[in-house]
Amino acid sequence: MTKHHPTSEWIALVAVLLVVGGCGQSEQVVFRLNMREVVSNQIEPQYQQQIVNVIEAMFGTPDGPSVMPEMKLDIKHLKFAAGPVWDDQAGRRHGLYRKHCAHCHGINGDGRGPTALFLDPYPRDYRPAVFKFKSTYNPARPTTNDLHRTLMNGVPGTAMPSFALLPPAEVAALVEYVKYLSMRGQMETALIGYVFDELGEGDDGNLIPLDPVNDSEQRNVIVDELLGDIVTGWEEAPEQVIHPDPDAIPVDKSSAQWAASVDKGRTLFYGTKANCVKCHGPTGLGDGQQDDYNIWNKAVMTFEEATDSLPNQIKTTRASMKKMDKEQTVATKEDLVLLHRSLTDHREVLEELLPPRNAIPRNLRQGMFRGGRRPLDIYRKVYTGIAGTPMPGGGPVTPGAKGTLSDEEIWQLVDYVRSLPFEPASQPTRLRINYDVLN
Amino acid sequence: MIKQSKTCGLWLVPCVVWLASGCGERGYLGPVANSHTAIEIRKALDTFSGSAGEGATAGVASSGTGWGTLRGRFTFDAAPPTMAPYDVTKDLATCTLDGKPPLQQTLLVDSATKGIKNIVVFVRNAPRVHESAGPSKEPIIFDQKECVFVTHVLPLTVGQSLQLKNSDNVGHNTNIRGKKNTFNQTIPAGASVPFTPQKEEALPAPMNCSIHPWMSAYMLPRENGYYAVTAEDGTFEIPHLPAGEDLEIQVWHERGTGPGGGVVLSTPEAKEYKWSKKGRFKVKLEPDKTKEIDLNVPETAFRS
Amino acid sequence: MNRFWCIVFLLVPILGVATFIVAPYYNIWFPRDVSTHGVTIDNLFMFILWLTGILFIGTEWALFQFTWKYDAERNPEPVKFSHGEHTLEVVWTIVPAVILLFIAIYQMDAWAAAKMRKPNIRPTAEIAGRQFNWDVRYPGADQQLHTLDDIVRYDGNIHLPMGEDVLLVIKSQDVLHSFFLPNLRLKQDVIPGMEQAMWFYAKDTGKFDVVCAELCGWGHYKMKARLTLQTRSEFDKWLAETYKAEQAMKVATVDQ
Repeated sequence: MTKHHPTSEWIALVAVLLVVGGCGQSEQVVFRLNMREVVSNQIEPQYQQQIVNVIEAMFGTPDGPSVMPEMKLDIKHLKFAAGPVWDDQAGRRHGLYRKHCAHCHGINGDGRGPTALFLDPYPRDYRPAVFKFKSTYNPARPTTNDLHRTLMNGVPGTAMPSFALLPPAEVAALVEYVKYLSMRGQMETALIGYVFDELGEGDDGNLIPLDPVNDSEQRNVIVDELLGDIVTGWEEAPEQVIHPDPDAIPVDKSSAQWAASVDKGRTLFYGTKANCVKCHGPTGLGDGQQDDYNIWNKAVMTFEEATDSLPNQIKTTRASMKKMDKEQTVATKEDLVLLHRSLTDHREVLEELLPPRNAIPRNLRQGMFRGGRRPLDIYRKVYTGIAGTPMPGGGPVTPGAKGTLSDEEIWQLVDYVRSLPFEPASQPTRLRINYDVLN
Repeated sequence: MIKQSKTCGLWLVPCVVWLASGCGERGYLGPVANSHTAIEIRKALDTFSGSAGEGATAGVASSGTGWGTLRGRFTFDAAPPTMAPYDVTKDLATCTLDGKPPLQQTLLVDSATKGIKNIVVFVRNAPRVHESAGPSKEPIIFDQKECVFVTHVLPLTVGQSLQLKNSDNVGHNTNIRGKKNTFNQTIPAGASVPFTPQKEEALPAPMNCSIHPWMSAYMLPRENGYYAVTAEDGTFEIPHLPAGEDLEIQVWHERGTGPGGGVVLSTPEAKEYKWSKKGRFKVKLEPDKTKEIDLNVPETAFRS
Repeated sequence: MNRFWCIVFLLVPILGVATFIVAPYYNIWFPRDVSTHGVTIDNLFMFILWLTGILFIGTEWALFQFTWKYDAERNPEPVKFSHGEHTLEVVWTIVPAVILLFIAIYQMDAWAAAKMRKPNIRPTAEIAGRQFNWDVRYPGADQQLHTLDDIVRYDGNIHLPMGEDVLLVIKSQDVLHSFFLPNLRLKQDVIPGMEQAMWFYAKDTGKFDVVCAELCGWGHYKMKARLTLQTRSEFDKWLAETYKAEQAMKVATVDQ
């Protein structure tokens, strides 16, 4: 009997252990910067480190969140939502965000969790603090009620389910954590903007450091201006809620009045005042203008275009070197090195981003309204549009101003939109298959 | 018993190597925070809370007197590029002339003078403002015709009202996506909708139409009137600028290669002005004198 | 096989039977049944369990006996090949066949009651499964589904009346799911493109689980809903309140 060499079995065992062990997945969970913003603004690595330090100073880590009193966030809620998933002695669940949300929305709230690529539409990126389904004017933040409503109802027509079956305390904790991640994302962008605008090379040729410990003016700017602006936006949201004028709300419509309202709404829908059919399509199927983007995809689109333009820039710069003198050539060579580095950075960041998709207008004949199907919800969408998307508003821009459409007209449009799924064209009769004819 | 081949397990080696190499950090994920430094910073930030009420930024201290003028010209250092037509996909009757869509306006170079149009030159952080350059209250009409914004780049002061007008027979909606100002309203045919930007933008904000997404323009609300847009021949002029002190000027073009669109020049003439990678330069004016800046901009300063 | 391993082998069926005996004391047994036909299904289950259980114990004991008696160390003589026994083979083919036939006929009524005898009433609700949520639509005042006055809810709180026949229309909006009501002993795969019916008569009120029983993607584990069974009057009241909330045209509460 020949001796059996167990080497191949050992190699197989090691390979299996590596795969099963999960290469390097035991690293600690950390927040990362918004690398798309960082690379677009050509922020130097030194500044990147300083920025991420300041952000952690202000907001903490995924396992240990912290808030500053200016943020007006409830740390108790955040402590339940953050960190790994575990149950304490009293049976309360911790790590709610990681249990329920992180796999789609990402640990940063950037909408790029592990399952995000498989979803249409992509999960929301909280960092620009723009939310589609809210009750406030277009540029305003959502109220806590709005976020709560989204969690309770889910977003029908998307992969966002309802979390109404969770205990109310858990839902409140998740809402607070979403606001926290949103503010954190806003602060990142604000700091990157500040570093780009105001800092940079000083008179001595060195980079002015982002150093709030030693520079009191920077501290001033960070807390008062940057954070202050962000928090004011969130605080003012309840004042920006759209309240339909109670006198203009149609009540107790008889079926004849209803039909008249739907008719007027139909005229508006297909007219040039409200321009609905231009995007929603000549028959309301959403097949009008489909070439535009929402802001989340537009940002990736712009980044992609910038990445694609860099190789050409390198080429033309190299070509222009032929006409230069020695001194200029040296400087241009330095520029080329930077361009190459920028191109590598752009490409690496682009790999991590989700491929951009067009904003397809809603097919209104399906009766699937993502932001809510109450007349009030549709009223608000027509009044102020949907933030972050190409959908424009037709009502007043600020409370008290005069808009393109009057309240009465908006309610007529609401009636028409709600009746659209029940028009004969939306409900084709289902024919029974005549098998005799088929065979 | 079959003899065990010595090479039977060898195929596993490249698999293991591949697994091991694939298990490193992918892509450019950015830095991780240093917890010790973060704690220090937090201590410093916490001690700050309480001095709210003071003016946010003390503002740039003024050290000069008098007012000067900045004048200049940007010319293109290569053959003027031909602009491709826009991709018109809607309302062809209104948006095309004899079936021809309008040409893009992304880089307009005058064939006679080689001047570059639509470069925005504006002052960042003015130390003091002349009364004629303060915020204006005059409304500006911003029109769109034949599915093209009539003004391609519009600087204005914060608080000035933009009358967004639609002179076409089809509806438009004007979608303004700035970092600090957003707006999205439908504008019926023949009508006008007002918009008043409330905050200053650091760089021009893009505007487009959702119904006709090829329509593009830029608007720049600033707190003072120290801005200018180059004309067709590439000339610009900003009068009544504070003289005797360093002024930082931002130069912007929609196809500028700097972050956000700054025009980055690395020619020897530009180096004299200490032109930065952000499209900015510094200049000091003399009172009652005009400074001329004539710059030749190479092709490489614009994105393709 | 030496006798030590025979004992080890015997432990397996012993443990198997022991878990069945002990499980109810750990609450790992049938969920509470609040339906009328559920008792038939539970009875069927228990019948099959006892039948197979007895046969299991019998065959395992026989197997153990053979391995114990005929272990290699104590039986050094060579094995004698037997060409089988005809009568034995006939018996142990016919007896199981009869038992299976019995089970098949016995359960036909239960199957028909749950899958074929649809009550001739209007649907009480339509349940649509999507990745990863259960949506419910009630017909509204006109008693017709898919009309303007429907009440549609996406929050996983399904209310249905007890003490009367309830008919549900179930469907899927994307992939295969399975609408599973453990406390009513009902489970049906929902197939995209196909509308199916499910019906029951509930005997009690309360809040019960609804889970998805067909792997539908990465969120299958959390595709849950809550079934609330109420008396008809309470159900009508809830429907009326929900309808009013769904028709909201103004803001009733103070926003925060």
